Amino acid sequence: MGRKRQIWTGSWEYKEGLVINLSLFTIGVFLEYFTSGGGVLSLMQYPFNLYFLGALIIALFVLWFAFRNTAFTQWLGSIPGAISAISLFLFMGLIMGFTLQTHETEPTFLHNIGFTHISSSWPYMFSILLLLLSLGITCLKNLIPLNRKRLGFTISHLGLFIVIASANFGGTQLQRLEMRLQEGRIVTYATNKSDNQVYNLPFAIKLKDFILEEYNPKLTIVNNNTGELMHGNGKNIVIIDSSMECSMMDYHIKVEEYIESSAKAGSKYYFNNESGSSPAALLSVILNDTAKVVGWISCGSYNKPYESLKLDSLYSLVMLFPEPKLFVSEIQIFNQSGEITNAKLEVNKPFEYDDFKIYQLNYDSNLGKWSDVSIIELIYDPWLPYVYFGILLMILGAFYMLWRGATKKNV
Amino acid sequence: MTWLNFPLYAIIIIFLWTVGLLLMGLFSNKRVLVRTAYFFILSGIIVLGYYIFNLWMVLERPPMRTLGETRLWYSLFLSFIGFAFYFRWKYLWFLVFSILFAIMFLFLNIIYPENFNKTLMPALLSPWFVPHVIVYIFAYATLGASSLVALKLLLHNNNQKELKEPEDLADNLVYIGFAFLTLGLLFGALWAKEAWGHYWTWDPKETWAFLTWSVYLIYIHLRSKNKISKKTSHWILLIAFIVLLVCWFGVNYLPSASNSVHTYSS
Ligand code: HEM
Repeated sequence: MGRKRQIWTGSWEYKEGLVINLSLFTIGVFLEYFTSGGGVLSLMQYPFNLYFLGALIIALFVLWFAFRNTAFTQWLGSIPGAISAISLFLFMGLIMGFTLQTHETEPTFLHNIGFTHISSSWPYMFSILLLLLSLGITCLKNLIPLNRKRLGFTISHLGLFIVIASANFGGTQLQRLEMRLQEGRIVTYATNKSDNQVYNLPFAIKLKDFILEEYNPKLTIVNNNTGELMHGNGKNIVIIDSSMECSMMDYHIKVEEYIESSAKAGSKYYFNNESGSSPAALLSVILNDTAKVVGWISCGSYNKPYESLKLDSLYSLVMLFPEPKLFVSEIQIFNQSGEITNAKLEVNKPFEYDDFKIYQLNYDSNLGKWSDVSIIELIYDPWLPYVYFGILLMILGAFYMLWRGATKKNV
Repeated sequence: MTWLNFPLYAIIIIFLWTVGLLLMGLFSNKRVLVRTAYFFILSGIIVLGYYIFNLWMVLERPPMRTLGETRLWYSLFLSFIGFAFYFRWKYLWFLVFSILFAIMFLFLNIIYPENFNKTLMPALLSPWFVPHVIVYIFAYATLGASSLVALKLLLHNNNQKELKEPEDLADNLVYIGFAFLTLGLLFGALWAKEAWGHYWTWDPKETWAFLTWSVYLIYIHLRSKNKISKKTSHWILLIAFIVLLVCWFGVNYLPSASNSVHTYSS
């Protein structure tokens, strides 16, 4: 690379980048420290987030049209500038990657310098600003005037700019409200999980039915003395169904009868569909080709005991609780003008209503299948369309890259 | 066909690949034998594909949930990439490296057998599941291959002349891998929005995916103007791959991961 260049002279490169990064980081940490780890979110509330974003975009245009030839603008749009900006952001990621991120505000040292809530801290915000400046100048450089040869990369860069800008400046307007529904009741309020504030909604929701489908339960071996599951990395776990026959350790197991929903009467299980009924199976087990054990097992439920099958002095067979396969809430939404909307909420299938997307979140896991409680989440995210637009551009950019990447580089 | 049959299949695959590589290495001037070698290597890939397909059928779900299952796909893609690049550009050493790597991943699966588990939690029942994982593992395989190239270049960096081509090979692999990585990340974000309500929450797995992505991003930008020494760029590729492995396997062990939603395996 030839002779050494004095720092801050000529065109800036990595040395300047390092100094800029270190300064931004240090100032950020100090600001965080002097506000006892308060972070930046309170400053970024609507409508201030809009003002800041507006200021950033104006700054970009001013830099590009009025100060294009300054070392700073040139650096922002250069590879060293990009690498510095990405490195600072990467460094934020590293901190997050190694320290537990929490919502707690206990005044530990790590909290006070922002490390426990990086994504809402000052250093992070500075790194976002630098990243957006660098990306922004890079986009302007290739857009005004338009550089057709680089259009593919410019689309990536522009997409990323839009995603980062709207996720970070718009993210503060995101609201996640949790609502606890009970079958048959009408609920009109929801709780914001981040500050535990209760909100009254402009509509009401009634849970008509909560449905939980389960997989068949699994069978495994347990050590009688230690209570340890002898699952043998999955070798000794099988899903029960009415025709199952298998070997585990030295035992040969056959399902004689399987009842998906049952209750015990006397020494046997019978079909039953009341709250708390549980799966049960009649098993016959051959031990070492000689002895045979026959008996019922069941995993029980919130109000029924479980039953295991003792094989010998060491081991027993147990049935594990069935795992959920699908859970659905059938709800009715009433708005103020009296309209009623029926909807089905399912994991991975949210329902859009008003300004909200409504998600199936949870249920009363103690009651499992018999839960009459469903917890849902209402999410208000007005910037989502912009994020999606940015993501779309990035996907196009990635396809462009695939197409170009396989051809030889024009070095 | 379950994981219990896996060792048998793995041994057949490893046998086919080893014979193929030996034929290729020892008789590289006899066309017939090289053709036969193609046949062996391709058969290994097909047997692996067949095993995965059957596992999918038996499990009644895509075999992409556990670490062991993702390692199967990794072996499949890596051997395929090695073969495809050999077919196109005749890099024998690249084929050898990628097959050896693929074999290593099969061995890992023999040593750490997987749960035989049909169940899939509701969040994974989504049309995004398959594209997200496939694209990701394909990216991992391609980027892993680029690190193999870098390793080779670092080990033999004295005879500079013949190395121009592998340089381009590494860059091309990174370009392709990075594009897939970006797609995987974005598909993941779109899926997360549907399943969990937000596209990005800095969950530990997401954080490490972001870190992996950034290291390759830095590599691409450094290389785009050829401003750094070749050696540095090869080292970056090796480091990037370590970050990638942390993201793939290591996250579960990090302190920051105690509240991750991406819990692999059981
Ligand atoms: C999706 C992510 C990104 C992709 C795929 C990408 C891709 C690329 C590629 C391939 C080039 C080389 C263009 C060429 O040599 O013709 C490039 C250049 C550049 N990139 Fe990126 N990049 C991304 C993100 C970023 C970020 C985050 C920054 C800055 C913080 C950045 C700043 C730059 C700059 C300054 C250049 C030089 C542009 C020029 O000289 O016109 N890029 N990018």
